[in-house]
Amino acid sequence: MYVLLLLAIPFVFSLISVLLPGNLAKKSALLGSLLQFVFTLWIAIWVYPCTDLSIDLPWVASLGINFSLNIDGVSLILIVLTNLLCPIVIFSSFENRNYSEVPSFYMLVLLMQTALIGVFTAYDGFLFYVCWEAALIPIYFISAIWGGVDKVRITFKFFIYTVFGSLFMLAGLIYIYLKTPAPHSFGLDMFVTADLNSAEEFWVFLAFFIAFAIKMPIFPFHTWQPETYTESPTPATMLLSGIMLKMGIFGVMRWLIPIAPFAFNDLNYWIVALSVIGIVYASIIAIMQSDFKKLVAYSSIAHVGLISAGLFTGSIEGFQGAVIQMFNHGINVVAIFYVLELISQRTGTRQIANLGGIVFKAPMLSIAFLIIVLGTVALPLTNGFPGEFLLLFSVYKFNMWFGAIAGLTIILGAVYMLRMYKNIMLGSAKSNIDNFKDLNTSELAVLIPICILIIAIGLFPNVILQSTDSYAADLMQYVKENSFAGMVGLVK
Amino acid sequence: MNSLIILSVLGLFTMMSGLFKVPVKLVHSIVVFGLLSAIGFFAIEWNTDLVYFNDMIYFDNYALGFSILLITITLIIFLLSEYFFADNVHYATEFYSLVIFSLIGMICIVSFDHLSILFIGIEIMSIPLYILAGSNKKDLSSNEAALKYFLMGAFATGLLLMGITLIYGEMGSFHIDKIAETITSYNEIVTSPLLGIGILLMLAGLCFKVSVFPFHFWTPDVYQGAPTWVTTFMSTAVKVAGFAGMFRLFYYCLLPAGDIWVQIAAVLAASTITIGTLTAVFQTSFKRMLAYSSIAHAGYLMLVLAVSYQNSGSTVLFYGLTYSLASIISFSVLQTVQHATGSDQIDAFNGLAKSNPILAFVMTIAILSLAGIPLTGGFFAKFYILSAGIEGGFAWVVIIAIVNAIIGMYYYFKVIIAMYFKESTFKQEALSYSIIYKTVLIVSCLLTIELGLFPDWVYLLF
Repeated sequence: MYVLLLLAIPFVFSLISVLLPGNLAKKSALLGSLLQFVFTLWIAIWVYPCTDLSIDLPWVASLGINFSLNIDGVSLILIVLTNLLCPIVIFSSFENRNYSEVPSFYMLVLLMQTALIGVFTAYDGFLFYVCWEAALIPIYFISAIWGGVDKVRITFKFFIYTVFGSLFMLAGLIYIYLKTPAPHSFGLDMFVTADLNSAEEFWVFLAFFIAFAIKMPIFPFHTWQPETYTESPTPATMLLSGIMLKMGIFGVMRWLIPIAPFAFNDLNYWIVALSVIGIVYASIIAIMQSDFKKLVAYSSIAHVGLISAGLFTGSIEGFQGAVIQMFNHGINVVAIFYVLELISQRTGTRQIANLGGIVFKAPMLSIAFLIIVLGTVALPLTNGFPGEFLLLFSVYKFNMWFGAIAGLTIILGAVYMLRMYKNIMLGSAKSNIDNFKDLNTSELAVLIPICILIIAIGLFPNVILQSTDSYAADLMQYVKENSFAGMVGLVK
Repeated sequence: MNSLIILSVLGLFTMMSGLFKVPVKLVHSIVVFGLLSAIGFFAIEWNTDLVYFNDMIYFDNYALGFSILLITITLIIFLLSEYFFADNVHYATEFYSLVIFSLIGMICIVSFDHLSILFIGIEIMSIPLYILAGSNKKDLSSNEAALKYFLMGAFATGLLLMGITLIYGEMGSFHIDKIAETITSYNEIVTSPLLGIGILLMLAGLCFKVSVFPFHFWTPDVYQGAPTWVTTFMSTAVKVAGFAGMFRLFYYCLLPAGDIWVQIAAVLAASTITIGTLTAVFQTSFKRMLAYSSIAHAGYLMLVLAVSYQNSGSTVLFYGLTYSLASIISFSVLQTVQHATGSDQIDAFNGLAKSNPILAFVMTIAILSLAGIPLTGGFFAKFYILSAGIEGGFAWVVIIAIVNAIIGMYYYFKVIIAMYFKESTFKQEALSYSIIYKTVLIVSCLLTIELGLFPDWVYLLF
């Protein structure tokens, strides 16, 4: 029931928003997303620890499709992240005249939120696929309607790229479905017990992996990402980088590893290698960027590369590091895009070279930005640190050389992030910041909680880690030993 | 059977009504009423399994389901084609009667139990279509379409008839259950060249009617040349009827001789999907693009034929229903846009979302359904077929189909991009259309979504 409500709140508010005139639509959308956030916190703190949240309703009986939803540790963290970021995304759009008064914009954002919750809670393969695709349509429309100059071509490339991946996932899903004992079923528990030989598992693994790798994106499937992030309007970039990318990582955790553990063990070496290449590659390109939005887009590839490298090592540390870093990356990247949106709105430029000396005009903004940047470069006592530490540790344990190369991320990340900060905020004041205003109350209301979160998670990472402790241990045990019994118990 | 009589009387009445100058509006209402009552009479025959004319026609649930679907498609097309009938007041009644006669032919095709009825049905269906394709008689391309369709169609019917003759020569019967019985009990008969050639000739003849590669060359020209509402009729009702008849023949009768044709059908499926999709990519005319995409859709239905699994009859029905709904919506919107701008190019849709949000929305749903995006009926239609394909051991066709589905997204989304993200090149105001037009479009659109959420009620029909 609780899970259904989580889906219903954004969906109902999306319908309400589209029926209201512009200035009311944005308020109702914000209200809906805040309500959803409060409800999520309530579930996370009071309901989740002591209640069984699973739901299993028949949907398409002839195909064994059920409307089954559940919340476990991993989904809980991602749901909290989604519902924390959506109000920020909606709020950040209020100042932009292109879409702040358009009801359908808010409808699309809230529909996207609904679909994302569906992805993170689905325990039925078919439902997962439907939500996965349903999340794509709203973001495609948002980016293609309100995007930059070359929006149509770039968003279309993004669309075709992701659909390409997900159709292969669909083929994989159908294949496993047909391998489940008759009458076939799409339930995750049936998928885990499906009888695949090693060749079949290999192909199923690849089919799923392509979909997830494109979504994350892992090098070399990343070519859609920098352009799309740059040309999309900032709310869409936040949704894409903050939440949508986590769909890929989540898919690996919830679906790929349990379904194809043998293939995971066979192939993870290569995937860790690709991820490590991606880290260095994207970092170097990020250093060269002159457009700050593009710089953050490439840095996001590097960060996700580290997450996937850790996750694919198949160790508990890697898994836990990926979980916490997913959460942190979501907060940090959305915060950075939010700050950069504020700067580009006030100065009208995204070129780093045209900016400088903002610190003199806007001290509060500078402090907030500094905290966020430090969190992103994983300074100890900020949220990035425990995640990157766990991830690098797991990669090092997996292969010393990979660990050494992946470790470059600390240096390179500091180079591009701190250099960007230095060039934008410090130095001599440029003429276009003469009228630069510091943060107003509502902007502070967004940035202060984010900064507190960044430091709080840095101090107490266990709040997040403990919720996936047992899942990580069970899953990795399962990957190593392939004890089906343990896994069946886990997904029930 | 009562419905068949009602339809025949309706056809004769509309033909005569032109002679006596009965007002078109009155004829229209009578036709709508007649079609509705035909649906009603078929519906009450559900589960009765009636047989007529010495076992020549057999109304089982399969035949009834498809008959109801075909009449419904015709009804929707009549309701949506107001422009055409308004502009051609003098000939309108002839159009009604030709379509209704064609519909009677289709009902024979889906309910035959005797090969001669199949042949007669195909002729009754086709001859009015030859006339309809050329009904824009001052338009050169319409004349070309009619002549091309007629010549190619006559050739294909010849092949079909030759196939029937050869099969009769080998089997000594026209009844499909007797033929099936003979093949099952004398297994070595499968190697007989007479039967093999007969089956292949029939396959070729029928493939022509449903425009399956390599018999599809007439399709784009005819679809583009014919008036848009005739194209709608040809690409929906005619195609569904053709496949229903083909399926009845090959699944209920020739399945025991599957060794002869199953592999061929799979190859035809893969090549039809590929050819249709790849050619559609390069079209700038929306109408021609839909013509090629309808070829691709025929390929998917061919795959059902190749797989021939337990539920494939209802899969064809489901696919036919969702595909027809989506095609009718997109052709009707095209017709309205074409009426206003005089162009059937994709560019004509630029900026439609701003000037006509409702038309753009229903069009988007239709396009998503044609492309097979989840939560529309078209997704489940493809889903059933692809999962059946994997299960039936045609994984290679499924992979080709998936690659083509991705390419298909490209050209389908060109229309959505034009409607939502491009500025209008034509001066477009809100287009005017009647309440009935709007209601029928929205109902079809809602039905498409409904089938994408809860497909079971159609899928488990028989």
